[in-house]
Amino acid sequence: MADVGGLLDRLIEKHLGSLRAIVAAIRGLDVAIGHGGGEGREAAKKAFSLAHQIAGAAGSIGFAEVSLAGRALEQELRPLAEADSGANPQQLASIHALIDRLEAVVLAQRPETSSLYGRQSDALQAAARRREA
Amino acid sequence: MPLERVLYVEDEPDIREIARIALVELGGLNVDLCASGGEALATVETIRPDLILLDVMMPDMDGTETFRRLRGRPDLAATPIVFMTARAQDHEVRQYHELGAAGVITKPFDPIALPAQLRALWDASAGEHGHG
Repeated sequence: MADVGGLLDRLIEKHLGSLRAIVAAIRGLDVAIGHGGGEGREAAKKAFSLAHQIAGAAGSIGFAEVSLAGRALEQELRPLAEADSGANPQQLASIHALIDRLEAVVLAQRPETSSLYGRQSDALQAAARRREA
Repeated sequence: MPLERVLYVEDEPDIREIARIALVELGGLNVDLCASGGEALATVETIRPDLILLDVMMPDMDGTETFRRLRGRPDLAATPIVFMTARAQDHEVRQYHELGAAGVITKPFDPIALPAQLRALWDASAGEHGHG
């Protein structure tokens, strides 16, 4: 039988690296979002997609706070990603603040802050069986 | 007939892996993983899943288009298809059900609860369509 706890721990460590890379990518789009026009829209779409990715993945891998910060940014970017209009100064300020917040939250994470980290295989399997019952 | 084989379609590798761990290692299910709608359509040429779990936001072919194409195959017409998505506002969930989805699981999901959630949807679907 597979060591489920070990599989999870390795995934959590890998995911933490992915989160940091994704946040760096979003940070790299920050200035372009403010340019407006086609460039700004494309940057907003990319950042929206990355924030969406963080919101869904981080929460499922035990990083609830990261997921919430990603979701907040995703919601702020959605109107820009789905519409033809550019961001107004208030939206831009909010987006910058939410990127700062997401970056801070991600950089504060360690593998052990995941709610799934360090769980023993038998405890995980027993928990799953209880959910089945 | 119990749920045995699941096809999971998801473009994000870490989500695929956490779902695989949940369904295979914790849930004891057989799982085939696909990274895109196109890959899923190719995979169902050779395997017959009991249930399909489908992401919505994917590049190239999104989940709803993948759903339509899978559902258009006569051999999959009765196969339950469940969306697993972060796009789960009320109006979006309503759209998935109107499309014919057997259920919607919201991301982020609880990996420990996922096998039980899928089996419950499978059982509910059996009540409607029968599973042999």
